[in-house]
Amino acid sequence: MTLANTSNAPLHLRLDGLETALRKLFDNFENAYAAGRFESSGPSMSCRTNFPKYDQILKKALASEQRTTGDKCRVLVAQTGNLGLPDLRWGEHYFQEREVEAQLSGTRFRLHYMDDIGFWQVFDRQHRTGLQLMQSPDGYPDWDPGSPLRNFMHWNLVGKDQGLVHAGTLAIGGTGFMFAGPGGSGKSATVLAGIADGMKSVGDDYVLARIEDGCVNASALFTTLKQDPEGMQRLALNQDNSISSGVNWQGKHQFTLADVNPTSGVADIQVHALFLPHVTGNNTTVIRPAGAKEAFLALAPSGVSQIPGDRDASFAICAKLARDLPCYHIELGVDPKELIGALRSFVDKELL
Amino acid sequence: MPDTSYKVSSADIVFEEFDGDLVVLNLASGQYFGLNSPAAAIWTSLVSGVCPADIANAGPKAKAVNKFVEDLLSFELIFPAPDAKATLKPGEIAALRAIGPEPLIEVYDDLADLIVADPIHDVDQEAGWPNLPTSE
Repeated sequence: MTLANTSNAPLHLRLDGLETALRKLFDNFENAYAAGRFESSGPSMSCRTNFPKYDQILKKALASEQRTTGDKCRVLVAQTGNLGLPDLRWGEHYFQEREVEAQLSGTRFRLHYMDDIGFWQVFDRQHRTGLQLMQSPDGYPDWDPGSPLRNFMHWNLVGKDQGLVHAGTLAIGGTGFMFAGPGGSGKSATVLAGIADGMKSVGDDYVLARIEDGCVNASALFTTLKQDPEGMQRLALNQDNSISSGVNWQGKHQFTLADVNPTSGVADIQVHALFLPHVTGNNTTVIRPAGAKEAFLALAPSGVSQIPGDRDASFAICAKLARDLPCYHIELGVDPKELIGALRSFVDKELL
Repeated sequence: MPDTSYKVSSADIVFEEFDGDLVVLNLASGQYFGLNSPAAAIWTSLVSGVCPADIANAGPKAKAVNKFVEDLLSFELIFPAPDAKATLKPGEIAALRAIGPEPLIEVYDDLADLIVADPIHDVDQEAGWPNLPTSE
């Protein structure tokens, strides 16, 4: 059977009968998955595709599978209508994501769709299989190469005591900490300054947070870091030959932990504190206690808003983290060396 | 209204407690709300089916309770559920007796706007989350 260029009849998805239609979509998953020529592995997932460029994106951005963080899922990235899969169409005038989420919340399926580019992500939680269907090999959203397959990771791993959280991470020895806050709060600059100074990290975008026996652990999902040209200059990374001089869709340099420090990436850290960074423009870094409620409001909104499906579970995990971890505001000094010195000193005195 | 019982309006209303305060999120609308400790104590009894009059009898001022219920109704966080009628538990009575300041409900509009916004399309592409695009 030749699957590679098979073009199939459209499958129109509607709110009414959506679960049945999604069952049909997965009818030929095994054959289609077997036809994928390139395979990448990431945390708790394997992905196949026939798109060499997308395979390279995955190999660069996915953290390596050093530790199994849950049951493994399989995701196929393909062009819609190919590999024996139906050509997916949304059969109603508008696609309303939250309506679809509500419709599917009690079912085994999760669905995300970007109607402007015809980008589909569908996950079967029962069989742990996923389909990312695009209009063309390049038909993914601009932000995707930084955290590819993020929604599948969320759908596969979210549970009562674990979930994806949007946070930067650093660790000194065995003591790890997370940084949470909105864009522009200085989260990424702090992580970069830390790893340039020899600290470890499990990532600076989405990480998997797990609460086990009263301890909080964070595991790597992505290797990607982003920073604007001004920040690169401030951190003296603008002359680093291993970092591409090109910028991404946000006007930021996009690179990996290993590009900054080949030994900085680790699979897991034990998290001892949650920091809420603030850019102040002051010369001196100040660290002071933060309430659990303000920590929660720094941590929860981006994850709950950006990742579709099971948002209540994301909300609950962020609340547990904010309650379980000591939380601190960190008013960032402008000099990265002073900032990292202050952080190290605080960790020595308060967290070890 | 004082003798009516209420329930949380749907499964889309999720809430978490932090040192006596409450953060409530309406997943359908994306709106976040912050409830101070007195508001959280009233909320706990109210959504378990205790009517506002019984809550007010336990300690808080009736006017403040009724205003708080009106606010919750206007934010579509609760709905009348006469069949849900329940009585106060001893722990709830103690919490309501200890209520100090007025119950307050804060609406985090800055977060709500962003969560209601499509995170991919409606967020400022330069600044990223949580910045909405500048209106032209």
